[in-house]
Amino acid sequence: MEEIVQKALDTALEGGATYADIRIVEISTENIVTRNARVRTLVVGKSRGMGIRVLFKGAWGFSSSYEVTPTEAERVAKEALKIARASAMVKKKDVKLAPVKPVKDSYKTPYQKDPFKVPIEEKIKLLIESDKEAMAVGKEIRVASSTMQARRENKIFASSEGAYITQEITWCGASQTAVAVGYGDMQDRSFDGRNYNTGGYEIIEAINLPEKARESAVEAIKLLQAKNCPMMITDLILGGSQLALQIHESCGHPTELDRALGAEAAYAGTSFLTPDKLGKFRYGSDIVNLVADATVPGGLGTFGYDDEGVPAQRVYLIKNGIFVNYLSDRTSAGELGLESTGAARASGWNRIPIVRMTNINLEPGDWDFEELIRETKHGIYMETNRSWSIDDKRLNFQFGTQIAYIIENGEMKELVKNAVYTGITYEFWRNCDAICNKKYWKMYGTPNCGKGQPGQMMYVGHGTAPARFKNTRVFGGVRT
Amino acid sequence: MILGKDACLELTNKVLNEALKAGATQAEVTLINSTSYLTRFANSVIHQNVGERTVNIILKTIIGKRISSVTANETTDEALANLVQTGIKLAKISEENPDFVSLPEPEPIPRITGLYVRETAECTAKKRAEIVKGIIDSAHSISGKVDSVSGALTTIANEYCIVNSLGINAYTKLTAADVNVTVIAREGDSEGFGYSEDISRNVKNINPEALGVEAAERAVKSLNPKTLEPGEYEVVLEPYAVQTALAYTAQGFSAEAYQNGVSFMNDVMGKKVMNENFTLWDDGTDKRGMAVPFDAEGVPKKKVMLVENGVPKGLVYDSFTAHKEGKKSTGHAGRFAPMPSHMFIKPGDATKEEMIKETKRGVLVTFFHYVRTVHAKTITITGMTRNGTWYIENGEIKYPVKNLRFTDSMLKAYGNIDLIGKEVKVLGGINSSVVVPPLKINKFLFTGVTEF
Repeated sequence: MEEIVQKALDTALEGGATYADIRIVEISTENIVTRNARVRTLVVGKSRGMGIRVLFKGAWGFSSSYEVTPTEAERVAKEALKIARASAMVKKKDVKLAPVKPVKDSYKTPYQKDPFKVPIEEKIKLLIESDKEAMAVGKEIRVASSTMQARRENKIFASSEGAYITQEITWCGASQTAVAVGYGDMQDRSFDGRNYNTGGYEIIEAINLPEKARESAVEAIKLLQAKNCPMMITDLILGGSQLALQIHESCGHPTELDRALGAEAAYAGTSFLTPDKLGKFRYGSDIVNLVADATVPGGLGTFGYDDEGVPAQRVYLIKNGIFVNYLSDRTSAGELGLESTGAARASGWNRIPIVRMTNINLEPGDWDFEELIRETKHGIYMETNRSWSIDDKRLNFQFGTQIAYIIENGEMKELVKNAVYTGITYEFWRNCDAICNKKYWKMYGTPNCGKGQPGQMMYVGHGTAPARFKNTRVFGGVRT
Repeated sequence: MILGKDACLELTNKVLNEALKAGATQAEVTLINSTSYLTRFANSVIHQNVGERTVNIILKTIIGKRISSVTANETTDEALANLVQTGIKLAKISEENPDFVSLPEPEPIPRITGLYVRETAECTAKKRAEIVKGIIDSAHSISGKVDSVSGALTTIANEYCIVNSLGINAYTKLTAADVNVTVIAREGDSEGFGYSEDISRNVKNINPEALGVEAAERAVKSLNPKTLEPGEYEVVLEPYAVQTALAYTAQGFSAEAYQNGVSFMNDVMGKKVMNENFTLWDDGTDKRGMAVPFDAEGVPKKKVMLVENGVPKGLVYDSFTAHKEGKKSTGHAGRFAPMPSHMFIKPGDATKEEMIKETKRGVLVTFFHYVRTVHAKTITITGMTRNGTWYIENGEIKYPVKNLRFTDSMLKAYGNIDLIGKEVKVLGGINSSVVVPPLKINKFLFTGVTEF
């Protein structure tokens, strides 16, 4: 490997690059899906290759290949130079990289039980058992489906500045869905979802998937005959997994510095959190503290170093309600004269690192969940995401959930379906008046966050506990 | 870098034979060899510029009714031997799928010319930069208010080779050049947004000036938007918005969704629930779209009428879902489930100007952003307008409006189409597309509004 690394970096520097890096990555994946107690998908994959990035004439060039040999490294490095030369034809100023101390180090996700060593038979058995549990609940269950995913990434990062970092990141998780059809309707329910974490098979063993599948099926059938969620402005309590999605969309994405600087304008969009708001904009109420934390154990966005060799960090994005920092990489941070917050991540060897979420976490408050319900006179509790949509500056959002209960005089009362809530990001977070305590705080995972052109799927984490938002507009998402 | 038909067939058949020798009762091998480049621009400069050479080999191994799928991206003897070994091992331990009958039988594959264009395959980084520069310069030439030009230009050359143990030996090579452009105009504190997009097998057909002008004109015209109260309006949807609405309708035409009882088609098949003027079909062989000869199982693409004169009537099948109903695949296999891949809406006879003229109180929508399904059975979707939205009153565009959120049933919307445009636009990727005109819908529900 060292010969390939050397060849790539030497070729780039000899060709005139002022900076170069190479990533050699091998990704192993395992994806099992069962549907109605039959194996629907059983895919095991391996992808290996290298990507070489050069800064030449003040502009970026990148090329990549599945052939990992010294000869190919030379060809790919030369192609990256050619591409950078073309980029330089359409530039206004030179790229300025935020500084980083080059290190030689290694990192490995800690785990107890290697998910790739657990026999596939055992995994299939668990998923089929889960489907059967759901199907046994009632004839209304038309689809009972269970999924298990595991991923391991072995990667080398080396730069012309002298960094040489090896990492092994392992994550896995499982989820299930029950779809009930009847009474002229269709309703889906999955248990609190987002059970994906870095670590080993112990994550999956802790879930008790068959029991969750049965509970989901019971609720899916109940939902068929539930009333549509009424339209009202009320106090909304969000369960942890739905709040994880809320954090992802309304805090994670708008604090990405590349978006704020316009780099994603053509695709994902820009951000309402423009640099002039840094350090002064009231994003949320005083109790809202959001951190980007790549160091938290078990987070799907936990690692040793990002894909530019910047060490994992814990950074406040929102402190006591005020917007105080961005997720950034060396290019975007360099543009504002800031230091990188260590959020450059590439989805594979064939993609460049771009600004991604790590683990974006809402710090716990001091409420007990039961107390929070008791202290809510009129309101609604919603849990588990069904649909999600937000505008391209991340202001107007509308999220649909799978299940909701009307709260009356401090008690969860009637079950309602198709519950949707909507709002403007900063108004919503400014209305946050209660966050549950550590006991209810959990790390959730989003294994499928899309960004960039060409597209990159990234796995990111969100730690949160349930919280309450005053005066929120809610309604039933089906037009009747 | 193209491997060529002979090399692809040799490699895939080698894996196939090894799998059969190792105990597979049936097997299918897919090879996708791809060389792609993407030049991305933002703030009127190239900021990301990437290349990728990749190969994917997918082996589907069947032992009786046990199925596995394994992938690799290496072509060394050792990697391929490992692929076969893993495929066999996984198939043996997989549970039986009683619904599985067989992989598809070979059928004659139509020859479609012009799918691979050398100019596209050999397009250089310099040429891409020149096209991008053309787009940026033409957008800025429209007005001093044009602030930034963003987008991406892709040139790609792919080979697809699919063989199976029943005798399918399918090979094709395809190229595509596609580009999308977003322009932001600025005047004081106000921003205006505009969009354009194009795709062709031949990079020479990409017209940088036209793309820059289209997006820039929209951006300048959408400066200083006013807030429009949410509610029910007429809408004129540009083809970009129609494409997205169709994408969220497509899944309902999948035989798999229908067989599971979770498609809107379960309730409306054969019933006249959409407007008489609405006809929709899928035809992968029609070169007005991004035609391809065969699907992911090597089965030739067949034309399927999905909706005829307002009556939903057709579904698309792969071999698995077809065998379940004793039918033949329609050539719509995807990686995991059948899906429409080349939809066409039958054009009408209205110009866009006529559609606007016929609108009493409505909204002209360029683009739908971040659309998600709220309720699949009624195709209720939500999303935001983007890249240029205007209020129309008494047949005239009055003023640009801040982006609106819509939440409505497309099933109802297709029933409320009162005019269909005569000019169509091709939108899509290297092996799938839609060919769609603008639509005028006489009732469409907007449920929210944002600040820009």
